Amino acid sequence: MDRGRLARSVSEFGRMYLGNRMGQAGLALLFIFIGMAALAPYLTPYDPMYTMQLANFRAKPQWLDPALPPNLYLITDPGLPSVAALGEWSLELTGGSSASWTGSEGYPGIPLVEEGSGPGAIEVTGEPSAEGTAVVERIYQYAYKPPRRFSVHLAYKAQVTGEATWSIQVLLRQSDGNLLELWSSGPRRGSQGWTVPRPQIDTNDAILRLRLFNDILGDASRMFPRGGEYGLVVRVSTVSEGGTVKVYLDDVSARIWGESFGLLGTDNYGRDIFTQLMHGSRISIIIGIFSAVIAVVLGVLVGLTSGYLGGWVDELAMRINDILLTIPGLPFLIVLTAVLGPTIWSVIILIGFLGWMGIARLIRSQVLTLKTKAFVEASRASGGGTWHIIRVHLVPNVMTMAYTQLALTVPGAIVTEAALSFLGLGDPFLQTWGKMLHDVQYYGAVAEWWWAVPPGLCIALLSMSFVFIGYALDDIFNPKLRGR
Amino acid sequence: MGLLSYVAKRAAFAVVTILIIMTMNFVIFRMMPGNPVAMIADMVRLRPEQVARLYELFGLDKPLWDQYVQYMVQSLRGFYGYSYYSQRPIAEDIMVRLPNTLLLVGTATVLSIVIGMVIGILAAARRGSLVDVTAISFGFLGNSVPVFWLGLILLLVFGVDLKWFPIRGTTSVPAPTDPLALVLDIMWHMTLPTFALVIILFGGYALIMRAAMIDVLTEDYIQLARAKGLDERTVLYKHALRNAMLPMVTVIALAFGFLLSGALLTETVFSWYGLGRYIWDAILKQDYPALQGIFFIISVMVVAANLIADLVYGFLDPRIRQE
Amino acid sequence: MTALLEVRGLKMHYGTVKGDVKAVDDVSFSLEAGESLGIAGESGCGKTSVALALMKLQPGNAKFLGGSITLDGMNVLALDDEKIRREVRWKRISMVPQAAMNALNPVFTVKDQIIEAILTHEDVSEKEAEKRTLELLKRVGIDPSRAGNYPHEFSGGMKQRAMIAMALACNPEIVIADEPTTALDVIVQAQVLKVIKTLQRDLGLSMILISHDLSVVAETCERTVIMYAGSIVENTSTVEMFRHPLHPYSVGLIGAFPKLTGERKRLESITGNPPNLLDPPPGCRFHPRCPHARDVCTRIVPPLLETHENHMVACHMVNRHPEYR
Repeated sequence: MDRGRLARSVSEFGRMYLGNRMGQAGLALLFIFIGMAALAPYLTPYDPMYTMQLANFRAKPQWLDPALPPNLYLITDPGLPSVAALGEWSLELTGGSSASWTGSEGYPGIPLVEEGSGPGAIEVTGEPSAEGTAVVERIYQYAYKPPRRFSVHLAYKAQVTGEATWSIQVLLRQSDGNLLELWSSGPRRGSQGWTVPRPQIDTNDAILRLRLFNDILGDASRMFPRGGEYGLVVRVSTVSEGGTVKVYLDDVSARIWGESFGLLGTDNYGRDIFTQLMHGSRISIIIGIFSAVIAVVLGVLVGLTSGYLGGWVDELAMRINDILLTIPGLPFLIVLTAVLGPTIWSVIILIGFLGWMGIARLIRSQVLTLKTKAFVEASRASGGGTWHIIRVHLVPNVMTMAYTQLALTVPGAIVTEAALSFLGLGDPFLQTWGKMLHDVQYYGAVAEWWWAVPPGLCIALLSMSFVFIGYALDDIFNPKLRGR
Repeated sequence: MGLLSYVAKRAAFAVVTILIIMTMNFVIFRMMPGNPVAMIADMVRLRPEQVARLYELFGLDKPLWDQYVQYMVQSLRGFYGYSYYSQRPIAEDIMVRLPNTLLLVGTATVLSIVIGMVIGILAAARRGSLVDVTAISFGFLGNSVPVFWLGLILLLVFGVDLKWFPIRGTTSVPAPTDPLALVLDIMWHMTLPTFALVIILFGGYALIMRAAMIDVLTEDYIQLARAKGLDERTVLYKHALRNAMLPMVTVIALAFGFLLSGALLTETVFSWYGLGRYIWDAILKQDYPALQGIFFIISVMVVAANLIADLVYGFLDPRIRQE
Repeated sequence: MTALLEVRGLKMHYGTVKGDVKAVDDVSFSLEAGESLGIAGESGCGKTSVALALMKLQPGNAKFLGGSITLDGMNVLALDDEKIRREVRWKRISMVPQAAMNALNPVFTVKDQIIEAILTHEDVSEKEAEKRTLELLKRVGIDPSRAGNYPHEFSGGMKQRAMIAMALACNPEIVIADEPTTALDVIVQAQVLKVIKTLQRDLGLSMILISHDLSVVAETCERTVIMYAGSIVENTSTVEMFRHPLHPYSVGLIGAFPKLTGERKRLESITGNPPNLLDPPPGCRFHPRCPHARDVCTRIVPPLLETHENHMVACHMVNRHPEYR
């Protein structure tokens, strides 16, 4: 075929395809998903798998209920990089204590665990031979429904010369004036390097809940039961028996974990569901297309050879075909992936290798028809070899069917992969749409429809786009079937 | 005579298929990284003589060929080994659950085939009508919508929100003792999973039935039946349907495997006490022998369904009996 | 005397996406009781469409745009479907369809299919119907012991005979045989034609035989109609048709048909292809292929006129070209 004719037939095909309503719908849908896959990293800054704790686990979408608290950080500038950062704290000194900002100390962080903010800290000094307390308080207006999780972070350091004891308390002053002691260092003697409380001050800590509420099932909603003025209080007490004591506080932060986050909320690890949805399109498209390509290539190869050669080759191929068609696909896949190890590539290959049978049959029957056509017989009579006939006469004629089958095989592959992932046999390092539904099922989150509905809808729509494209191609390539 | 040899041929094919499936099962089992004894030994740190004893117990000390023969004999006797998790013979575990799965699958099959066929016939007879559009739409949906997701949605709407149906289980706990109440209770629990399966499946059947009917309706013998002065109902339901049924029979048998797969997924969603839920648990607990036992049982059922379909086909189509 | 079947100005088009296919355009002919009429023409010329229209079996996209079909004084086209089904189909007009191998339903026995036809139209017991069926089969040369066989157990010729038996099941007045022998090999063809001819004569049937094969028509029918591109171009007795064809198309067709007994002459054939009926040429539809076409032929449709006694032809040139007399 020369270039001009090729171009003409391509443009002819394009015209026919675009005139097909089902084809338009399928292509439009597919473009949306391809756009989603290509733009996923730009649409969302998070990683679908590894960015955890973005908000409280199983936060609801932000638009669902504006009264739900988003992520709230009570302290604006916990790093205290300058003296101005002290402005958000109110300071109350009693006895022989003084407090000031210092630039010479700062929490350096813990290697590999957390980073510190560097220089800048609150310095509380206890006068020699005196008792005193320094209370820093951050007032916060809370205006949402009760949250479930609240955590406080702080780092402290003590420098003691001579005889002196010190203690640090973290308290929450509730809107009714009640003071809750969240953490206390207890009276201590001697110096201490930069330390953070262990376990962390967090309502996820069952011991903390038990101590505060006498109820292991309680949560932060008892800390912030209603809107109003709350205060995070850090009280440093010093008792000097002649020595001096200096206590440094840095990286004091408090977080009310968001009960609402992003477009679709978060999952059980506080990962962003919208991110998972966007990235899921990549995996589904790749798996769908790659396994369909494998299935179609195998199907065409088997169909061509068994149809053209006939005889015992054909008989053998068709018997194998029959047996594979009989074996129930999903259970077989389950056994194979369970044993071979669920990586994305083994899933692709297995789905492809178990999907060629129907295609081989179609191609074979078409080859059988073509074989009796005059142009094939003529070619054979004039000495055309097997390979020549297959390449020149058969392949081009079965290609249209192969394309159609390709489009029609993709949905099955996508749904099958989703089923495997749903059963927990997907690649454990990938968060696919099927895996998302697995999580919904595993964590019993059916009622959270913003989590349960979108992945399945995406699977269905993406599959549907290929079904539409396949039927449109069928319509164009087999005009005699039009109206069926 | 013709029918007899046809039946013999199909039965032989079924037997060969089952043998091949068993062999594959054996091979896959051997392909697994490590072997069960090594896994157990790894977990509980056994003494060498204990390990040797276990090897003997599992028959792993014998040559591969002996193991194969032993495996085949045991499988045919209905012994598939012990579940790692429940420590009971897998056959027992499966037999407890199988009736529930068959109940669900059977009901869904019958319903979706009946609905699919009726809609397919009506769609073929009245092309472009509402019925036709319905058949095509549900055919497409069945191809694209994951059945477990549809199950989740049904659960969400009718179980969690509207509370019309229970959200989990095969019966209430405790189950009613009165037999009639028990039947009603099971039916109540079955409604949503059956509904999910039927919605996914009937469209596909309708499309196939429709295509077969449309094909048959262009045949010369249909025109002749009309020329004979037969009324349209006789033409459609006697002359056309009987022929259009032929492809349907094969498709139904093949779809039985798919239906079982669908049922496995649906059972998981609705916590139906059947094989699906067992698979879910087996996967979570990496209970490979249990998975293989289930795969074998399901394969046997599907092969049996295919054999039955072949026989029905032979009964419906006089041409088969001759070959 | 009025004819048994009278077709006047029948016009039937098929609606398709690309436009109307003008399959039957102004066709008129009549059939006397006991007469055998052959309709010949290339495939796609509308022969089968005419035959289907006689029983109102046209496909769903067909549109009747004019004309009438009168059977024994009764306008068939005006009858409602239920009445046609009960009173015309098979009871008065039956058919031996194209490719009998596909016209027998593969899942029912041959016997049952014939019995079904009888029971649909006549109020007789099943036993009586079976008895008649076996007689009919014997009559067309099929051993009654084979009556309970399925169609695939019959050879091609036997199927065609069974079809003929079925066509006669309700003692119809008219039998339409549409290409009854096309798919058969030559020897079987001859046998089947003989059965048809004998039965037609013995039972005094009126018959319309449709074939693209002129020799079949010549052998079987008293009268021959030649169709081209949806219209009748010539209509006369078979003898006259073969001796003195008048229409240039008939001349070409008959010229292309070798005469075993005639003098040796060069085979004449018609150049070109039949027109696309979506957009047939104006005027005489044959004019692009006609060696004698004049200006008038491209503009005016020639009417079918009885230019000679008992010989009708649709051609502007027929009286101006003595060489075609």
